[in-house]
Amino acid sequence: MIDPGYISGLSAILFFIGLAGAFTRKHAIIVLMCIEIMLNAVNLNFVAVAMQTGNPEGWVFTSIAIAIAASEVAVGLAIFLSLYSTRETINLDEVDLLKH
Amino acid sequence: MNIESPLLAHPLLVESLRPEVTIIVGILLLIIVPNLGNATFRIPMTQFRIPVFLGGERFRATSDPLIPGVISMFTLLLAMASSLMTFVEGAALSTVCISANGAIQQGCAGSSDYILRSDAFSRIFTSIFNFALLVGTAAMINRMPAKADAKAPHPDSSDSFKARAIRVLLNNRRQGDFHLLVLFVALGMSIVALSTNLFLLFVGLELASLAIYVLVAFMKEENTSGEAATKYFLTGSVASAITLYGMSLLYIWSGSATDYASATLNLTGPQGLAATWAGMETLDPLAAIGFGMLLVGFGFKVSAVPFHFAAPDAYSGTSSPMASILATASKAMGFAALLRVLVVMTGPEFGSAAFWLPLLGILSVITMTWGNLAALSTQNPKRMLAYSSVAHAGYLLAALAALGSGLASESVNELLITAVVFHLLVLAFFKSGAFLVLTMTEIRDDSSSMESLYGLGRRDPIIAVAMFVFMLALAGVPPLSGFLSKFLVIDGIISASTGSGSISATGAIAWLSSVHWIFWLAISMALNSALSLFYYLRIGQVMFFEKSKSILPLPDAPMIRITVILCLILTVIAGIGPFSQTLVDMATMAAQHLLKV
Repeated sequence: MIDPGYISGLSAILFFIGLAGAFTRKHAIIVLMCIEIMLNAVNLNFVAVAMQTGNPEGWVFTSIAIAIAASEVAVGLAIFLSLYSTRETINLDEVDLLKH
Repeated sequence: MNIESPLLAHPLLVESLRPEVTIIVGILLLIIVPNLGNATFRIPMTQFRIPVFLGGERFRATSDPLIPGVISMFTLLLAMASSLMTFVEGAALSTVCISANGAIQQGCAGSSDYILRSDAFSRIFTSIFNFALLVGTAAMINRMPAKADAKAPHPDSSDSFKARAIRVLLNNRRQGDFHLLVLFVALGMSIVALSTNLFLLFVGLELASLAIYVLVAFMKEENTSGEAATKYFLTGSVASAITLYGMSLLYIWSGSATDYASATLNLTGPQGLAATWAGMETLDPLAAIGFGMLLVGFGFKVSAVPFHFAAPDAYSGTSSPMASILATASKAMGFAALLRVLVVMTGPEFGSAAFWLPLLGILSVITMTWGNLAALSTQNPKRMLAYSSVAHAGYLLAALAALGSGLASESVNELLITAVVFHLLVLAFFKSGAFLVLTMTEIRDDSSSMESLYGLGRRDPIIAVAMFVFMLALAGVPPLSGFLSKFLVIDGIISASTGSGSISATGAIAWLSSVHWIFWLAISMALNSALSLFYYLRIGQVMFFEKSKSILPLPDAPMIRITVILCLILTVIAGIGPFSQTLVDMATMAAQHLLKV
């Protein structure tokens, strides 16, 4: 069995890749993908604990977190679509009507 | 895990979760009622048709576009009333705990491993959420009116006529969607207020947030709502991803503190996070990082400073009723989660400071000052109210910091929590009232510049006076309710900190230098309140002394008018007299229940 410590380490790396991407990328869909990476990092952590113990709670948390991530994507893409229909861009640097 | 009792059949379940059951019934009604029709089902291989009433050609009476609004208002009203019933019934009767293995218990004495807890604390917050959402819904009914007899425009009619007719049809079509989403927000927020398990709390938080993101983008034909929703959604989901990662770290930590088999995200219980936290000798970095990440998501919901950047954009880009929901219900949800976690999980022992004290203390000062300075410099009334909401988050964080100093006795802690709860309660009166007045100017005009308020005193004196009272209440002028809530916060901080001053100090300077630094949070609050008077009074000045661009009276929006008057009355009577005493008593009961967990 893989040492759960490695899984948590991978999870931390993935989380910070996602976080860095979410702050630096300018394209809305890429930012959304970075958020997904962060959420999947969380799943790895829950799975690591569940592997260690055999306690099913970790698996339950993971499956609910996957469902939440999926609905977040659905809502996000719908919002980007409504932004695109009024502005014809989803580049976050060009979306700047609300400044003052 | 063994199921101890058939949970769903337990009479206490429905009784203790009456508001949530009401909301779920409302959601089902909203889905079913507009879809009632004459559809039939033919039994295979025969000619028999059984009517199923769902789908097909919709019945005229039930597909009326006015119906979703009525269902939603009644549901929220009922949910609010049944939340308030807790306070009528008395404390001991109404505390019910539900644990993960299906055990449900009244009084919560023996079972400490529960995940849902319905007590005065959760019930006062569900009342706040339902009230704030009710006010927002009432405003939206006039902002997005449903017309029963709308017809498609004739192809030969003029373009502007066509656009207006299509707008009416669009509004009719999305009535059901809006009210359904509002009820989902109510359900998610109630779960946040009820849960004593971090993961369940996160699920409620996401249920409410996802519906709120859609609601911010709801008026999609308007230029700014897509942008507002995009910004709010992206920052909000980054914040909630960080929160969830923090939870997973806490989960690992709670496992590593024992033998992993008892890893849990329950706050209470013999192996719960609170017990593990209390048993920790030195601060475990894993726990500290996890806890700090947890605070990011809650900080975003209450719009505390490093996470407040999306809030002004979201408030000013979306419709005013939604902005009122964001500023009252969503903020109250953040504080409900924050209080539960801070007090139950990491509450300091008497005499020792919590490790988050410096963090929260500094953030509170920065938050209130930043909010007020930004509000001073903006020309957009919706943005101004958004920044004022940031400042108010700062005042409440100051109360939480005083709670974390560990200097206060039990009764002062109770006073501080009472102050926070009471402030969130009365904020729902005057903050939503102010946004409702902006909704009225927004229906025909737009409300994105100060000019929309010019000369409001002549156009509509009653509404203008109401707006002025709301502004005074926000600034904290006695005898309005805004003053009482701020006074309670300052009183709590001062009574927590004065005990720390050296008694033997001669003279004020020596005393001030010996007192614990949270005393200065109270000073900073008082200074900030004085600063905020400038921009609140400026609204009054432009309403009564500037010349209006338009001489048209405000639109005839009966629901908003009634709600504004109701908010005005509540703002005044919640500040002084017997009604305010009742509300403070309710908040005190909530504080006692929270501290007892």
